[in-house]
Amino acid sequence: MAGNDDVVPDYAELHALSDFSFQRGASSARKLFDRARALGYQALAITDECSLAGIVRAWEAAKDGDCRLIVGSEIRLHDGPVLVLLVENHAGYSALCQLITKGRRAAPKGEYRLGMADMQGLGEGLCVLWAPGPLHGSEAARREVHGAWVARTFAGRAWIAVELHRGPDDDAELDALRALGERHSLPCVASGDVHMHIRQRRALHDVLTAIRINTPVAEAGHALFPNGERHLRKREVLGRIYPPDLLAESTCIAARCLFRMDDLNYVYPRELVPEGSTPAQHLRNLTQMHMGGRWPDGVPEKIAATIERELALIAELEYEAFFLTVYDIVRFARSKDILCQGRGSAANSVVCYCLGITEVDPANAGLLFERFISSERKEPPDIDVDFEHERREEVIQYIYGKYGRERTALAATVITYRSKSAARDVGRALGLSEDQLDQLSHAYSHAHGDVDIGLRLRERGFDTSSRTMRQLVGLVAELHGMPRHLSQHVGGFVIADQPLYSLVPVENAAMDDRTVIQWDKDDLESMRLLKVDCLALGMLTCLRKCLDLLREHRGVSYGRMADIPIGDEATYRMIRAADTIGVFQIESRAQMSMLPRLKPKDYYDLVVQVAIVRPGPIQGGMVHPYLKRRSGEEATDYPSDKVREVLERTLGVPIFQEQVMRLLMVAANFSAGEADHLRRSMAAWKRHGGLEHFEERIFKGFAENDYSPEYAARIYSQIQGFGSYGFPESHAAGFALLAYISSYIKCHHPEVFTCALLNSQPMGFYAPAQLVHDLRRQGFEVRPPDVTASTWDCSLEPLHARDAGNPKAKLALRLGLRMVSGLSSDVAQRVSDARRHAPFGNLDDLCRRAALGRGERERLADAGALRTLSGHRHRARWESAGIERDLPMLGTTGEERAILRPPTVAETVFADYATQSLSLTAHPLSLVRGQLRRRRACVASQLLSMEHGRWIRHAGLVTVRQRPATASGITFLTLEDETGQVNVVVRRDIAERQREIFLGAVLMAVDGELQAVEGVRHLIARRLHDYGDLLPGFSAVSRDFH
Amino acid sequence: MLWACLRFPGLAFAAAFAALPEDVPGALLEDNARRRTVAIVNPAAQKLGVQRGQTVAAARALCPSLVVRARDKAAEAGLLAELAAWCYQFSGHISMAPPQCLLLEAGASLRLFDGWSALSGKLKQGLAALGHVHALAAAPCPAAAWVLAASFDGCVVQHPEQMLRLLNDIALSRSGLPAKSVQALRSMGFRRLREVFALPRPELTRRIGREGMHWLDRLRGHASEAIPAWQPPATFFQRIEFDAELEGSEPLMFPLRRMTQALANMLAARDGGVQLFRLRLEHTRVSFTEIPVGMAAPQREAARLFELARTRVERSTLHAPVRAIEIHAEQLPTFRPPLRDLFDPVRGEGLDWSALDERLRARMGESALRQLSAVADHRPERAWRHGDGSTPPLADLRPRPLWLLHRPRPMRPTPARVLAGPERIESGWWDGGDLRRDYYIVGTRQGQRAWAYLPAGSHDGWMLHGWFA
Amino acid sequence: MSAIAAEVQQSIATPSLAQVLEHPGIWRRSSQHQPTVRAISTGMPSLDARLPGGGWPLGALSEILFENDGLGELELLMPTLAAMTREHRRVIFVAPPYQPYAPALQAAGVDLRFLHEIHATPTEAAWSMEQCLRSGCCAAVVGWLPDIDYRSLRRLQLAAETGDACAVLYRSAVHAAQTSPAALRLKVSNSNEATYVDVIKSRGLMQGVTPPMRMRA
Repeated sequence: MAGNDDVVPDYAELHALSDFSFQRGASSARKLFDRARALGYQALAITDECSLAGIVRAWEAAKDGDCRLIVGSEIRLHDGPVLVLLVENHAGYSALCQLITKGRRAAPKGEYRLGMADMQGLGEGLCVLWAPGPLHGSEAARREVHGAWVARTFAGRAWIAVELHRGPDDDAELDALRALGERHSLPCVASGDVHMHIRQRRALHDVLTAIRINTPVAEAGHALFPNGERHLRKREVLGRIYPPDLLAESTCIAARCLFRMDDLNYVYPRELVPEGSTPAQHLRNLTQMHMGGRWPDGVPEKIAATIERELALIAELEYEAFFLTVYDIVRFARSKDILCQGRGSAANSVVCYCLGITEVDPANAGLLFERFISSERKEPPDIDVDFEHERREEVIQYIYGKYGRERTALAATVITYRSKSAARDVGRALGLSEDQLDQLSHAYSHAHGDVDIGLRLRERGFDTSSRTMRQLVGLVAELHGMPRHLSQHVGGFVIADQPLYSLVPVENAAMDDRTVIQWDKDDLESMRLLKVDCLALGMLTCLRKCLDLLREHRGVSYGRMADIPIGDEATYRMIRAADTIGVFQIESRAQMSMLPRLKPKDYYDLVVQVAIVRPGPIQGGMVHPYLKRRSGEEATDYPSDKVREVLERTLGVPIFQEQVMRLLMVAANFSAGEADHLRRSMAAWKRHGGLEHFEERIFKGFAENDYSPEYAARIYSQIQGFGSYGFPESHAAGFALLAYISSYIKCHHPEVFTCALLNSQPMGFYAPAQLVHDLRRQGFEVRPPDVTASTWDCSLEPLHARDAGNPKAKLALRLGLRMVSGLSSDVAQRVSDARRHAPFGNLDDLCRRAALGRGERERLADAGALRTLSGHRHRARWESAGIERDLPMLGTTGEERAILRPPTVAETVFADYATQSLSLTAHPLSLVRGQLRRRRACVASQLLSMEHGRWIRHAGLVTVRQRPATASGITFLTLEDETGQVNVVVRRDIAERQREIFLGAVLMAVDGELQAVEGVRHLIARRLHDYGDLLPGFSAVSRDFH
Repeated sequence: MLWACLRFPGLAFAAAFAALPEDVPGALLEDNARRRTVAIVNPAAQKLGVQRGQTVAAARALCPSLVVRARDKAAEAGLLAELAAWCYQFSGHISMAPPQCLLLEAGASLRLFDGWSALSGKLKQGLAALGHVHALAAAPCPAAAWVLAASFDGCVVQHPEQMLRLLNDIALSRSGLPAKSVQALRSMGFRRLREVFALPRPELTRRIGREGMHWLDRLRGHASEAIPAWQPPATFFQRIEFDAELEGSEPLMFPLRRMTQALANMLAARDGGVQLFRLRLEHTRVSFTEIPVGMAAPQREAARLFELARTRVERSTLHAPVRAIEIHAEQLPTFRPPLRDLFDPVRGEGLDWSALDERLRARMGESALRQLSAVADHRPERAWRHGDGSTPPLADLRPRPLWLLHRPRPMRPTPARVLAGPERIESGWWDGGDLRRDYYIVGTRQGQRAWAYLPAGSHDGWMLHGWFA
Repeated sequence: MSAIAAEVQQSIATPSLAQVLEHPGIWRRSSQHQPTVRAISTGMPSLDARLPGGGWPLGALSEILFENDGLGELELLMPTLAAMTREHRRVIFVAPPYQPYAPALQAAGVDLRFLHEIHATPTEAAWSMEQCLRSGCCAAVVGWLPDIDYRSLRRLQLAAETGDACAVLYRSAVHAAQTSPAALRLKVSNSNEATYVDVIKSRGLMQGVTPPMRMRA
């Protein structure tokens, strides 16, 4: 024991784990830095285990303070000691990234493997601390071997980390380590092996340990730390534990480690620019080259000027390489006929329009590039490119091929603990039974925001006053939001000019052949790395199939989406009538109910429509003001011209994320950086309630510019509602185009659209039954799956054989074998192949030539797909069951004919639903209409002509149950009968009181009041009934909780 | 032949729940599945929409107060066997049809019990008294009785034609055919057995297989079948009543020797052993004294059993004279003679350990002899327990004293010197035993080495906790 | 780390033939001492050297008389008990005055599956110790019987002979002056913060010939 009690020694902590050492570190980098600053540490090294995943956050946490970040990592060698590597300079940083990459790539996802041999060629620029571990646990002999190895391998840059945590005999330990150091000429330094910022995190740390080793805390035994000493200790306390020279050594090492994350210089890939040209020049050339395609009659002067402005801005921000990269990917997709569409801030430029990255003409749509990208805001450009979901893999392989595996990797996504997963893990650590864990999940999954969790837990039978439950609630709150593991981003590719592993560690992803960098999208944004999002979109697949079908059956050839006529009045008329089942984005219940009110007339109306019907704007109270102003009921006022400029296009109501930021900048004196900070915290509001942070700033800003407090309050509450749901205009613009194109095809070629949509399932809001019903309602014929006509996919066939080849003739939709549940595409392929040879003579012939197994025959028989060969289902099943595969020729021929009863209509409908989830024969409700009438239930079509406020009873199949909305406490149900669909609004108290009917009924009746406002009709439920007794044995078809 | 089938629909619940009031919704889960799904539901839960095959989560959504327990098939089998044992009084040929049915050959018992109505009345009365909901049917062949019990409670058919008439109306789903066959036949449009019986045999066989066909034959009594007879379990019970009241333990020795001899005979016959039996001494006024006799391992030697019983009886104080003595042995595990190591030098009395163990326990009581286990817990008090000595290998080799005080006590005088420490131990928040102490190895003026602690961070309040003896 | 533990450690680490013979598990019939005394090594060469037969006498009673708790009196026995239990031979503690602490016993190398603890009143303690010794199935029986009389000591001595077991009795040093039928009597005492072990009686050795052994400096 040493040290002078009066002098508080200087200290730098060189060994600390953040919560990015998953299930080891119990505190975030931010908490660690806040505490280290408060304690007056000179520096704090974040040394997560074989990882730099948390380093960008640590860098941000350290940014504003005087406690410096040292970048490092703890490496536990599988055949040797524990080392802490600290970065001195840029070379050392690269070396560390490479080492981590090497270790991570050599092991399955989430693990690493590094041995003493891997450390031999460790690059320059790293300090090495060796943590020998406590003496009473390790052998003295092994310490000597390790000491010699460390001294030899890292000559001149290695230290012994003396980590004293009030063990059995710290003095003896210190003496032993000092002697060890002298024998091997290794200096000693004090360090803390920090796992938490304060001692009070001990319980959480124990829980993390228990989670890591998958055992309850009570049984974790010696895997737990014996005490809570591994926190950031006061310097005076350290002064009593360590001799002064050891503490001083820590600051000496800190002084060597001067590397800053700001020093990293990322370089865009260069190969896209031809020899002898500059990126700026090349981008200009490409833009000019493609301009002619967009404006064959010559580029208008205004457009040309816009292009010039954009190019100048791009040049100023040096974003050329980014545009060129996206251009290259999109060019590849087009060359392979893969539909794609760009969206995002940078996508809304005339340059992007020229380059074909987007089909939205920003000039026409009133979307100005400067609105999204500006030189004052230093945010990186953002372009997401959506591809057909079935073909995105080709694009990904192209990127890998072009830039090489070393320079390309996916971005990471940090999976954090949500309250439900946190509750499960904490509950398991506290030894709760599986059954209790289920209950706990329930309590936590239904507890949103302001609902008192104690109440929820008591409802589930927990005693919240018990010690365990009090501890659990506290620990869940602490664990909530902490990182849990790294996963891969859905499609964000990082591409660099140099190998990525010199910039950021790369590790294996769950998918073979994929690699992921250790940073997520926010980290990339902070570090200003190029990320291109290549996403998969089902609607593009559907549109591709539409275009193919149109070419085949209608002789219409739209080479690309841009060839679809814009501004089609018939299409907008359809949209205004909310006849939008199946189309992109504007098909949901909520969207459909808004269409007749918003009455979109043009493309920009669709952009607003896409963005406004979202929880954010709805909660922010923006919808009603906007509707009123649009219908002219309310005057539009702008407190200033500056505000008018920002909000004019949305009638004074902020609807888009970009508007909120812009508004704060022009009206509340936010700097670009502050606005950007606000945008980023938007995502976190829900969880951390961070807006209060800005409240004062916002009101002050508005006041400074002489806006009334009422106006400021209104804007503030609108921003508040935005939460994480605020939708950017730049993305809405991309989605709106797809919404329009899908609507156009649905409007003019509904059978084509439905066919393509069915072949792209699962996607969208509606089940095939509703899509088919919607098509039949328009007078189209839909034919059942049949082995003599169907392929795997649904197809279009002429209504009459004589019409074959006539592009004007009406087409019928033939359901494909894909509609039959449980049938594989392989079976369908064998059937089509055999049929192409010659038509099937009989069932025996089919089974033999298509090599159908017993299960496959039965499935086809049950689905009614053998009707042409065998007649009704009963006979089909009887015959197909009689075929014995071993005796193909004997088969059914010698059989005595059994007497078989044909199925009733009800049986047919039931069997249709059981095998295809839809029936072309009849709607199940029509089977029991008589009984329903006796029970005084009216049909859906009657509701259309009823007046507002009428009390009625309606019964239907439950087709959609939406997850309960939190704010309003209401839930939407969709009921369907043979005449149409009815939207039902169920208040929370009714849903709770009649829970079993609400959640369980297949056929439900609702007593309630009809609400009809502006063409939107809802049934407000007062009472629910389960009419399941009318259709006994009928299976559920609803899509629950969308 | 007349076969009666008893069906117990509530058996699985009765086996899993000791007592579940009828109005509490309850469900049993599949006992094997990783995905926890509902297997059986009681009426209260059924009313709320809980159904077989639902996940626990779904069932809970419908009924938050649902009481859930895993199905316990072993307990079900045990309960069914108990019921079989009870039924043994009515028929000498009983067969188990798990999971919830029993078959009784009643033909032979009819005369004994004065006909079917008297017999069935006794059965039903008795079962009702035991609290078992049941259905009962009788038919000339067991398969038919089994099926009829599920559909027509209380029906009894003596003649094959009558039986066939009833079977004709049975729905396929209740016919006892394999689920796959039922599903296949239903999708061909058949609903009742009548329609299936009418089908041409080879064609039908091709569709439902030989197994299904055989079942249809058994139902109609076309196939002869051997019904395995159930054997009652061997338990041992004997009672000896005395002509006079006996005072003290000495006179009991003679009957005791006879009873243990009888027990040993029975054990030898079934090649079993006994690990626990109970002696019940009946007194005149004060009800009775019960003496359990337990052993470390199963035994069956008469002399050993007597010796054990004797010491136990001698050690217990008898409050009153004894009128009768009973011996009960319910668990009779397989007997395995102790293995003796040939190279073990046998000296002294040559007792093996279990014999010594028994002798010590008999004299000093069950809890006198104990073993120790080390427990991986940082807290000194919880780092050990009484156990069987099996202990995980210890990774943590911190210096610890050989003697631990049963309870820490203030240390007086305070230590003369500190030899090592402080070793801070802060652990145990999860079970209410959280502690924060600084442990030291200290020396006393007498040269003793002790393990003592101070409250964490404190400088006085020494507590002595162990000796480095 | 105590001196004893270090010594044991050493003897285990690199076994030479001599050391193998030192191992407490080996039956040693040393030629240096009277061949009539059969003994098992204490695991401590310096103590073995002071004892007839070179260890704890077998089939006989030994007494360890100690001044105070915590002088290392139990530590003396640990190498032997550890060796016995590791050979799956049983060791019984009869009426220990404190809780024998499983982690420390385990650290000393005892296989806890073969260690039993008997709680007993003084009378029962003497009886059960005798039973264990006689049975022939216990390698060592260690008892804490503070007030035992000569007659009982005699019975224990005889029982140890019958069962060929190693009987060890812990008693207070105040009894050192009394006569005892034990084959070996050791005294554990403290002076100047060091513990000393005196052989005060040993069958086959002249009393007081050997100097005390110093342990735990």
